[in-house]
Amino acid sequence: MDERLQKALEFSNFLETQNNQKRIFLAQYKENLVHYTRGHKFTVTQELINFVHTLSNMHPDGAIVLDDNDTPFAITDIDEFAKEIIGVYVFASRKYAIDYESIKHHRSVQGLIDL
Amino acid sequence: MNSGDRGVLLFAFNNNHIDYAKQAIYCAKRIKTHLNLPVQLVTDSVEYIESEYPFYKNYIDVVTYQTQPQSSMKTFNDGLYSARRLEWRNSARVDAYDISVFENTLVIDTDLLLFNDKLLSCFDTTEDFMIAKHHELVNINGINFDRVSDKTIPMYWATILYFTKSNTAKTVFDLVAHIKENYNYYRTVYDIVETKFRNDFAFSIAIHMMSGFESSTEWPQQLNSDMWVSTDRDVLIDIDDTTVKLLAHKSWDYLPVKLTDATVHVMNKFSLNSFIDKEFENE
Repeated sequence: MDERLQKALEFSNFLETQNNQKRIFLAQYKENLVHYTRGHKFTVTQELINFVHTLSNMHPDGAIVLDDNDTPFAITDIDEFAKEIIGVYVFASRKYAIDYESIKHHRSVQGLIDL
Repeated sequence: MNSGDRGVLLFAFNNNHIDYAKQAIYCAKRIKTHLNLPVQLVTDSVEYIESEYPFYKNYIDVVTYQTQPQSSMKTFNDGLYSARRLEWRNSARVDAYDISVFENTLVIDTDLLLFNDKLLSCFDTTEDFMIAKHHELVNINGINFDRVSDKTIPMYWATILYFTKSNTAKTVFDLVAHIKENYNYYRTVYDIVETKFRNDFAFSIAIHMMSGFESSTEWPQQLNSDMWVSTDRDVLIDIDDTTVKLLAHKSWDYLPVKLTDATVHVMNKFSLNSFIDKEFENE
């Protein structure tokens, strides 16, 4: 095979592998943002974090929020709930950053997958 | 709830070439590591596992004998370039409700590899029945598992089921038994081309019927799982404590893939079994 063609195909394979790994990391990040507590499911978003923080400041005795299934959830300890969801967000985003960093500098398929 | 109330149920019925019992023991080993729950194995190969894998008692707490369910023929791929047509005995799942020794049961396929404890959250819900629906493919390759057929209902995966001993769960399993008995009728109604019985399809039909013949988003609730699907056209390369490496098929070639801390459904039984052989050399 012409060397120029071979190098172009190698780069294409590398790019496809890298893009698939990036897709996996993003999907895992989104999955890791899901928080289950007392039978309720919450996808932790920056909006939810800010809303809970506002509740904590203005209505600290407890509040109702809707979970991902639009089911009402009574938060009795708002600060504790805020800690839980921030913990979920920090873990998910840190893992995503570490995963992303792990492939950023590699320039070969073998490097991406540790083959 | 104390820990005796909850556990994981596995089914294993070998054919001439695929050792599902061996897979079940390996699966149970990963369950112990990540979920730390008791495991019940339902199989017709009780004597076989006692003689071939005496260490199974380290991972499996209860073995329940059940006669072989009726088999159908299925093509099992081993990557892109090899395939065998073998017997497939998968229809015992419908008995899970009656046979489980646990009050709260997680049922998983023996080819589901756990690398995290996300499934534990099932036991903290108030739901009586949950089943996997959301999934991710290890590689985007044109395969679509979203519906049981192009024109009909959403597909649920009997690969991961959770149920409590309850009226709701009993109704689901009774309905699946009815669908199984009349499978040709139901697969025609739901436009399913495949003739062999599949648990995924039977549970999907049952859920659709119990949801008032609508695609409900309210019931059953999604269980907390991150199921990554690797089809039998992919090849498993390696597994360690946290990572699985695969060659995922793309058209007529492969793409290397690495997954960390995920729940991976490895459908290529041949490469999974080869890997487990190496793992069990140290047992």
